[in-house]
Amino acid sequence: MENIRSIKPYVGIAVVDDKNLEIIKEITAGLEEEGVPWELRKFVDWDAVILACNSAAESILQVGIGVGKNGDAAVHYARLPFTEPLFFISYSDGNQDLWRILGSNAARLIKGMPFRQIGQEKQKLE
Amino acid sequence: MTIIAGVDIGNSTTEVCLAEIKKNSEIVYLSSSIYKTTGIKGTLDNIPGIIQAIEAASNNAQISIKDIGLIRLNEAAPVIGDVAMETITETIITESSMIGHNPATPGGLGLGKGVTTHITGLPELESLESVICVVPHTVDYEEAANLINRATEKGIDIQGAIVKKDDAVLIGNRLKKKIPIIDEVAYIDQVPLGMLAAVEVAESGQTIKALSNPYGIATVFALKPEETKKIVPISRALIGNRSAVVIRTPQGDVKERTIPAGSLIIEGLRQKETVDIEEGSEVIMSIVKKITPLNDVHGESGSNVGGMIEKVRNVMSNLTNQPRGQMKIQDILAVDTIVPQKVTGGLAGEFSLENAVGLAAMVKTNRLPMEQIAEKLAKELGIETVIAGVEANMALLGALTTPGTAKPLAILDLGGGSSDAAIITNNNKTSSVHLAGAGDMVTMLINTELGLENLHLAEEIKKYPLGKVESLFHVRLEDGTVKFFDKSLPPQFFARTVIIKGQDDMVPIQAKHSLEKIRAVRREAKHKVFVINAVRALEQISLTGNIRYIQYVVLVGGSALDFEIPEMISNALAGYGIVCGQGNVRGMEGPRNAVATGLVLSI
Repeated sequence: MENIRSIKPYVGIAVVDDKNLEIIKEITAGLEEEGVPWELRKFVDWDAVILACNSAAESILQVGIGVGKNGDAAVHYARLPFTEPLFFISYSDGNQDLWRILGSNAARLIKGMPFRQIGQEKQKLE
Repeated sequence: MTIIAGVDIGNSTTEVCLAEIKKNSEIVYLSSSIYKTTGIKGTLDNIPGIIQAIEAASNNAQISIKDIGLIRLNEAAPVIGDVAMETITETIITESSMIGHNPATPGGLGLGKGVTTHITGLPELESLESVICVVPHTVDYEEAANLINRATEKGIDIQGAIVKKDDAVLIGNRLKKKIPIIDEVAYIDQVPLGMLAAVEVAESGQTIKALSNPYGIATVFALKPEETKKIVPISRALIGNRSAVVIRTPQGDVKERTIPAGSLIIEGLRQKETVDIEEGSEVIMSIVKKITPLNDVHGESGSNVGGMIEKVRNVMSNLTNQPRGQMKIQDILAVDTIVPQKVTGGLAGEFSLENAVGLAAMVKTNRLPMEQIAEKLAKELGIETVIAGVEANMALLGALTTPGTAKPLAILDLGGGSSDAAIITNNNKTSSVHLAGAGDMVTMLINTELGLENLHLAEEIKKYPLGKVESLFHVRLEDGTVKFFDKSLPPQFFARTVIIKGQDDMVPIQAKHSLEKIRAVRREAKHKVFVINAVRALEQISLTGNIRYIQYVVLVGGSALDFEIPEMISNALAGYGIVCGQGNVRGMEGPRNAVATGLVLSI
């Protein structure tokens, strides 16, 4: 990944080639509903947190999302420590509603709106 | 020489002042302490708290408890207060004819009008009628957009959509023809089908224009003048929204009902007057002022206010273990307030603002059993213990040690349950009053006006300033200054209004209100209770009935420690030419320890 920031405002979503399309669909829907633009970039094999961290570093909005090969998903903010993503949902914990919330929370970080609670929503679904 | 301890048992704290009386009767202060009052003021349960407080003061002075020669207790004023609240208007929607809804992200734009139709019914639809689609959670956004696009291609005039999930923008982005879409409608199953409905979405940053105007609704639904009158509560409830839905059902009706709140019967020593609660707090308080001193207050039996007053009386009688008949209400403070209440019959859990009245009442009980406390304390500590004086007089003596004060001096003792005032004239005559309404009432007003349903949170909002978390690393405080953090704040704080309790101690407020709104409610509540009571109290103790006679007013008691109440009162009294400020007992204790200090001084 080159370390050049794009001038266009968007949330970078780093994903693994042709994997986890269902997860990506929900995350992008969450961003779209909140009205925040995004850009998908594909990689070969990587960890969700590292992908998220790298795309946050590239994004002019400083927010990035990573979906790992194993289906883990993470939201990262460029000013946070490398190993501490803002949100992380492992594949086994994930479901459609949570991935949607993950996308909308990434958007809300940019819009300055309170996050939807991932923990609470999970309890409600169970 | 002897060491004496002045002990003041208050509603919430027990305070001690330790001093040494020299042979030439010079007083040397040794130390002071403060401890939470154990049990209800004036009961034997207070003893553990008193002992803790005395121990703490002894430790501070580096003496042993046994060195204390005399304990002087105050004769606590036997008054306690309670608060209650009752709404007097209520909005009821029958046949669910409105959704006053304001989701965060509505979709599309404009005003649409049509018959409510389930989205899965679109393919079979043949009619030329205009349609408003109803989309349940089982239909996802792509499917919904497809169905709407196909129906539009067939020539069906789709004017708008009502959606259960948070999908409005997603559906809107996929439509060929733009229509207004409202989402997050929780009770979508209750939206009646086959009824005429209107959906309006304004541009971001704008508010709706048609549905928030009674004539706008009348235009959309071709209402007659008398029908237009009935829908005023709907349009009023929609003012300021970015989006709204109104559904017209044949039997549909919105009522703004005035609940028969009942009347208060205020009994003075000479006369008795009845006042309707609906007349509002101003009228009630002017009658209270006219009739004071009160003998007792009753509520019309069977009415809301009757229940309220009886509840107060019950609480007091339980607290004091005295029969209800002896609970004579000596003062009331009525405050107008606004309470957000869930609209009966709403479809998305809407709230409407209802008028309410808050009432604080103060009851004078029999003399508290202070002698028993004194006896037991003397036995447990082996120190002579006496009851030394009336609370108000002791507080005056203590307050006079504030640098820069002189007689005639008045004190305002702002506590949790009651607001008390006392005055000492040039020739040392004193008098005092106890008024209903203090810190507890402010907490209740904050709790209800913000719809928190959490007294603990309301108490914290009352006590501390606010801030808004603007990023994961900084908070903007309510005065505009910014505070930065080394480590990122937890996500649940982000973009929230927080209570700033201390350097690194913040509590997020989950409610939707803006910082400005919470701040305004907090300040308004303090003004309604403390500023009004300060003026009321000073009017009553001033010998001439004119506040201007009093020159110095010292604020003491727990609420005088508040970060904004003292300046609010000072500001209000400055207009009367009064010097007013937070007390500074012995030039070092602040507004605390006035009574305990007075107990030492009065020896």
